[in-house]
Amino acid sequence: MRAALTLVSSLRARTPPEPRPQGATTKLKSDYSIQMRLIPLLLLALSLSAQYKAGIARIDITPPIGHQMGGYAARTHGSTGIHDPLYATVLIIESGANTITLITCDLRSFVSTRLGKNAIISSSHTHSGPLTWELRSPWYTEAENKMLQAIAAAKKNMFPATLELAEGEIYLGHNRIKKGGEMWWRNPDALPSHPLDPTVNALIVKDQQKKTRAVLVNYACHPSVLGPDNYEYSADYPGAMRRAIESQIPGATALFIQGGAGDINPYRDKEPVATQFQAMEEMGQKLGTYVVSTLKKAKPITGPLHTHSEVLEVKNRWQSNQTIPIGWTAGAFGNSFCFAALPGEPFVELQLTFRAKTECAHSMLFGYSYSAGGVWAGYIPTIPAAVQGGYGADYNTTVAVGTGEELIDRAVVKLFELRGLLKDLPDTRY
Amino acid sequence: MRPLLLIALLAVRAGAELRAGVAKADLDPPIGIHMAGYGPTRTSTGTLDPLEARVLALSDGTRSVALITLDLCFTFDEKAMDQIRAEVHSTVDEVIFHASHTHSGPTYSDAPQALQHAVPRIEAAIRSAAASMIPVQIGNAWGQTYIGFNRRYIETDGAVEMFWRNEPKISTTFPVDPTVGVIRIDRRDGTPLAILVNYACHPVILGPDSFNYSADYPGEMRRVIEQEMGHDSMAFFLQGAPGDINPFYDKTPLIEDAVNVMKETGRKLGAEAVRVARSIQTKIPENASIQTKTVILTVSNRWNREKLEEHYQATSGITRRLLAQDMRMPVTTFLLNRDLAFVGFPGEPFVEFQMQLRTKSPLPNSFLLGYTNGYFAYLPTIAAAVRGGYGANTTVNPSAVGTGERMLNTALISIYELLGMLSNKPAKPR
Repeated sequence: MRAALTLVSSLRARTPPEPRPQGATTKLKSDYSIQMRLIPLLLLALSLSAQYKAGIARIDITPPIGHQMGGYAARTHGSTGIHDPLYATVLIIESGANTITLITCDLRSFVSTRLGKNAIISSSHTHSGPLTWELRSPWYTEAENKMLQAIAAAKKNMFPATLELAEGEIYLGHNRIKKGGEMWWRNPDALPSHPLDPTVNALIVKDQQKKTRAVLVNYACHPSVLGPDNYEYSADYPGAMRRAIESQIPGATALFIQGGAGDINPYRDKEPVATQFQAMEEMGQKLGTYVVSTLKKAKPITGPLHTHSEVLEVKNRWQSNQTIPIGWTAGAFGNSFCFAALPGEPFVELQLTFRAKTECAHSMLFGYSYSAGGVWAGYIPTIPAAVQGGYGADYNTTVAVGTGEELIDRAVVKLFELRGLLKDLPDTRY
Repeated sequence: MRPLLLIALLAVRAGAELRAGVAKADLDPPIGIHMAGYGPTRTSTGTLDPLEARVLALSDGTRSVALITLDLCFTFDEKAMDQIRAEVHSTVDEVIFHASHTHSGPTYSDAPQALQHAVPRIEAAIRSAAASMIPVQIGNAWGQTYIGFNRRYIETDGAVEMFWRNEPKISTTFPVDPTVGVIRIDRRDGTPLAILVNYACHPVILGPDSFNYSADYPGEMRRVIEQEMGHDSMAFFLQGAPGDINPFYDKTPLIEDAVNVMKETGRKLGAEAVRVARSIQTKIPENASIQTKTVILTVSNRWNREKLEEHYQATSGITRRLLAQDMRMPVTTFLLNRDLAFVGFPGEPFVEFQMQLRTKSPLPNSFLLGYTNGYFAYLPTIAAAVRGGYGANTTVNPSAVGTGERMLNTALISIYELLGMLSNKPAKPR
C-alpha cells in the first residue's frame, strides 16, 4: 500500500521535463491521453455505423491443355489434363469510400496492372498450374480478361455485409530448411520444425440475413502436395479445402490466401503419383473441416477500412547497382483486422513478426500477392535465414538481405497511421 | 605430438597481433558559452570536473581505429569530425566519435572558436594514443546494476506519462536494461591498460540549475575504476541506448547536494564495473582483426511539413532539426577480433534496441553505442512512437517512424557481412 502511494505521489510530483523552458505548465492529463481514452468510444460509434458491402464472383481460368506448367523445373512437357479446374475467386469489400478487391487465383504467381487501383492479385502458389507472367502466352491475357469479368460480376452483385474473423491453429506443414541450410522437402512423419506458424485465419462475410456468403482462409504452406510428375492442372490442397468448406456451408464461397509460406512445405510434399490426389484431398479436407469448426468462435470485425499502397525500391542482392521495385499494400479494419500484401514468397517468420507488431486483434500476411505495381519479388527470407542459407534464402532469391524486415516494418508503421495512432504533428507537451 | 605443437605455435605467430594505446585531452571549453542539454539559454560559469576526449587506439598490424569518447551531449558536426579524420588519417584509418550525453557540457555548434580550440587537442590525443600502442591482451564480461529506470510510464489505458525522477527507486514500466558490459585490455604483463564500460542511462543527475562543466556520473565512474584498477589504466564510458532511461536521481537540485548524489551514482556503476573487470582473464587474441563498415541511411522526415510550419509560426520558431529532410544517418559497425561488435547509432536509441542487438547479433559480445558519429535526436521503437512520450512522438523526433529498426537491421547485416557469413554470390543449390 505504501509503495503504491509512493508511486502515485512521485508520479504526480514530477519535476519539470528536460527541454521545457522554465515557467511552462505541465498539464496533468494531456489532450493526447484524452484522445486515447476516447478511442474505444469512437470505435464503438463507428462500428454501429460501419456499413460494409461485399461482392463475390468466381471464374474458371484453366489454361488450354498442353500449356507450359509452372512450379517445378523438372517437368519436361506441357500439361496433359485437368484434375480440377483453376479458378479466380473475387471478393470485394467496400467500407465507406474505401474498397479492396481481392482476386484469389489458383496460380503459382500472377502479375498484372490491368485489374484496377485497389486490386490485390493473390496467387495460392499451386505448383500444378501454368507459367504466367514469365511466359505471357495468349492464355495470360485471356486470364486477365476473365479476372476483369469476375471483378465486374462481383461489383454488380454487391450486398450489405457484416464481417467476422475466426482464428485457430492446425499443423499441416513443416519448415523445410534445416540448420545449415540443408533442405528437407518432405516430412510424412510430421516431425517438429522451427520456425513454424500453425495459425489459420478465416474472414467470414455474412449478408443481412446472417447467411454466410464467403469464407476467406489465410494459411502458410506451399501447395506442392502434387509433385513434378503430375501434369494435370490442379489447385492442390487449397482447392480441396474450398470444396470441403463449400460442401459444409451451402451457399458460401470459399477463398484461399497464401501466407508467409516461403520456407513452409506440406508434410506430404511431392507425394508419389499413386497417392498424390488422395493426399492432396486429405490435406484440403482436414484444413477445410478444421476452419469450419473454428467459425462458431468468430468475432465481429468493426471499424472502417483504410488502405495504403506504395512501391519500395530495394537493391538486388547480387547486383547492388540494380534495384527491384516491390509494390505492397496494407489495410486495416479499425483495430480488429490488419493485413499486408507482399508480391513474393515471404518466409514464415515475417508473418509471425508482422502479427506480433501490428497490435491488431487479428493480422494476416498475404504472401504471393501482387498490388500497386512493381515486379514479382520472388523469395523474401529473413536476415538470419539469408545467413543460414537454403532454397530461397541464399539462392533462388534476388532481393537485398533485410528486404523482408523493411517491408514488414513499413507496413506496421503504415497500419498505425491508417488507424490514426500515429499523428502527423508532434505532441508538444514536452 | 611435437610437430603439431610447433605448427600451432607458428600459427599463433603468423596471426596478426593486437596493439592498443590510450591518451586523453582536456577539451578545455571556455567559460561563458552555451551549455547543451536543457534548452538553448544556459551559459557556463565554471568547471566542476574537466571535460575530456579519451582515445583508445587499436591496431591489428594492417588496420587501425581510434575510438574517441567525448564528455559532451552530442558528437561534433560532420564537418568537424571529417576535419579531424583527415588530419589524423596518416596515423589511424578510422575514427569513431562517441559522446556520453552529459548535459553539463558546452554547445560546440554555438561556439566555433571553442571548437577550434578543442580540435587540435583531440588530434594530439589521437596521435599520442597511436604512438603509444603496445601489444595487448583482451577479455570481456558482463555485470548488472540498477542506477536508472524507464522514464516513460505507461498507464493502464496505454497513455504515457513522463516520469523523470524516481528517487524511491520503485519499479516502473519496462523495459530497462541493467546490463553492464565491461571490456578489459591488459598489457602483456597482465596489468590493465584500458577498461571500457557500456551502460545505458542519461547522464542528467546535474540539472539545469548547474552551470558548471561536468562529465556527470560517467566521470566519477571512471575515477573509481582507475583508482581501483591502478597501473595507470584508463577507463572509458561507452553510453548505450538510453533514449528512454533516466537516472533515479534525475536533475537533482544543487541545494539537495546534487554533486555528491551524482558521484554516488558513478561510484555504484564503477563498483560493479570493477567487480566485473577483476573477474576477467585477458588473453592474447589468436588472430587480431579490426573491421569497420559504415552504412549511410537516407531517412525521411516524420511530420507533415505544411502543418508543422503553420502550427509553429503561431508559437515559436521551428528548429531546423525538426524540419530536416532526407537526413543522412551513418550506422557504424566495428568488429574487434571477430569477437566484439560495436554498433554506433547517430542519435538516442531507446533501450530495447540494445537488448535486441544482443539477442539478434551472431556475436554474443555486441554493444550498442548511441550518440555515435552524429546526432539526429531520438530513435524510438515503432511501438513507443505509437504510444508517445518524450523522445517518442515529440519535437525531438525528426526521423521517420521505424528508423531505429532500420538501423538495427542494417547493423546486423553489417556484422554478418564483416564475419563473411553473407556472400555476394548466390550459393550452389543444396
